[in-house]
Amino acid sequence: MEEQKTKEWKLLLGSSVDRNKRRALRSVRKLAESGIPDKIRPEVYGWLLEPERRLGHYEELASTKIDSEEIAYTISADAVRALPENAHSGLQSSDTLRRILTAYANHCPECGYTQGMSNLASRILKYSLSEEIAYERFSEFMKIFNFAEVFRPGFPLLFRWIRMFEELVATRLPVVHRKLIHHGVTSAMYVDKWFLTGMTYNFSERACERIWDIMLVDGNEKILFRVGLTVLALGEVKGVFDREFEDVVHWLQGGYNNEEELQGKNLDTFIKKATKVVYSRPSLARSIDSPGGVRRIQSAMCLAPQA
Amino acid sequence: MARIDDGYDYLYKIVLVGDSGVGKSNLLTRFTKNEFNYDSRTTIGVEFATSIIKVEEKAIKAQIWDTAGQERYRAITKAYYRGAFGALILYDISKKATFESVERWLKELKENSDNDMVIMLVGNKSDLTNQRQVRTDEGKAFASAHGLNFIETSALDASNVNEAFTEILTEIYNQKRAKPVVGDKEQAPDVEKVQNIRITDPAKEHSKKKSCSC
Repeated sequence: MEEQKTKEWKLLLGSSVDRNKRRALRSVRKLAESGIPDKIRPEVYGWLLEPERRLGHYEELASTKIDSEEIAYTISADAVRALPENAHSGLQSSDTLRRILTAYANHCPECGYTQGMSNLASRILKYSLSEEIAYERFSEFMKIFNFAEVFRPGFPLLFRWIRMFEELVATRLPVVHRKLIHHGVTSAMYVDKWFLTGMTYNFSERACERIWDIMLVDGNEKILFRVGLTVLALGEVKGVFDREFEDVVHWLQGGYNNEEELQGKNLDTFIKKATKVVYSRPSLARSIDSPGGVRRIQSAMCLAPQA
Repeated sequence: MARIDDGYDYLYKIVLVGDSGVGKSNLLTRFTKNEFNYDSRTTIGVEFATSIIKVEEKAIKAQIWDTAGQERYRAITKAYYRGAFGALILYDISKKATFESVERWLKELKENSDNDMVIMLVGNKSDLTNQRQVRTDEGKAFASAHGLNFIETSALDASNVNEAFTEILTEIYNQKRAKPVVGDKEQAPDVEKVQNIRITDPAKEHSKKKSCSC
């Protein structure tokens, strides 16, 4: 099975058709949904993330001192903290990560560094064969997936995604939405972690692999919304939202990982369910921008029982 | 009826603020789980943990909200200050810059919280005696000049951690008792839930700015 999949990816990587045309193919998406074999993942990620033109100047960017002392300090501290356990050797070292993040902050001073970026960079570094390649892929990722906008001071796109997610929950899972409002649990309490770290912050390693395989092939963030909605649907089945406020928030901030649905072979079913969530970004965007959209949700929040 | 089933008489919400890397998350896990992690991960957004302590035979449940320390995260975290009865502002005694930020944190808290919030200044990492950059009397002087409680702690060797939380919870308890809330306390425990939290939407303020060119 893994062999067959590897073969198919190899064929794909060898073809000369445009990357974006190929990634849009249903067959490619299907292949990604079933999980990219570990062996070939670095190559596939490279294919999906390598910029069309090399950025260059890496060494210079990585070794230039960052203007802001606060940012330089935060990068150094986070580079140590962002690596997965037992990964403090070879290319996956805190020093490599620090240099990649420094180069990016110098490359885009307006983005600089915001906590959460280290989680994303560490994920990309894991499947890169050199430091410079990891940097280029990370920069490309920040650009094509709009994460530069997510992280820009004030988190403009993050707040927009949160509102879109809220709208999605309100329309697809109205019962869950009502229960969360009743508890006073806002989506900002848990969705921010999902979006800012591409779900690497509080999903298991295996779940992250599957989510990223799909996200990178899609070329957009939609799978994060889909998985998020599927987690909420699972919570409802498990009766989580009928518990106390604190239990609900703890479950939403990562407790779901202990559910059997996200473990072992069941993860396949869970991911499959997530990929079946159909929604349109333009129509979500329209409804949050329309006068009735968000206001309707916010006014519902105001009705939450006061303490 | 007293809330015997829930096991506590009062619920107080407290927030932990301070620069990135001063040890907020470790202070919290030391207090609530008696654990310390050298490589504790960066906190993204806000998280919380709870613990129950006894003050004058009353069970007080602390709901402690741990926040991301990076300045940029204030756009997210400040929404959680409202409704908090107390706050711990942490700095790292071995990093002067984190002490210099305390004034900004204090201002941030006052602008975004209710007036009678009990605030405690906490100099953490007191075990790093050889690397100390902030003297105890400097911390003390700042605290008394601004009317804050003060303590030095070490999440690593656990010194003063329970004391810090016990002190602030006791002070909140005394303050609330001196100014009883309207209504029957037995019927309605002093529960301040986090139901009023709303995230403001800075996206609107920024939407007109052009996106970065990279």
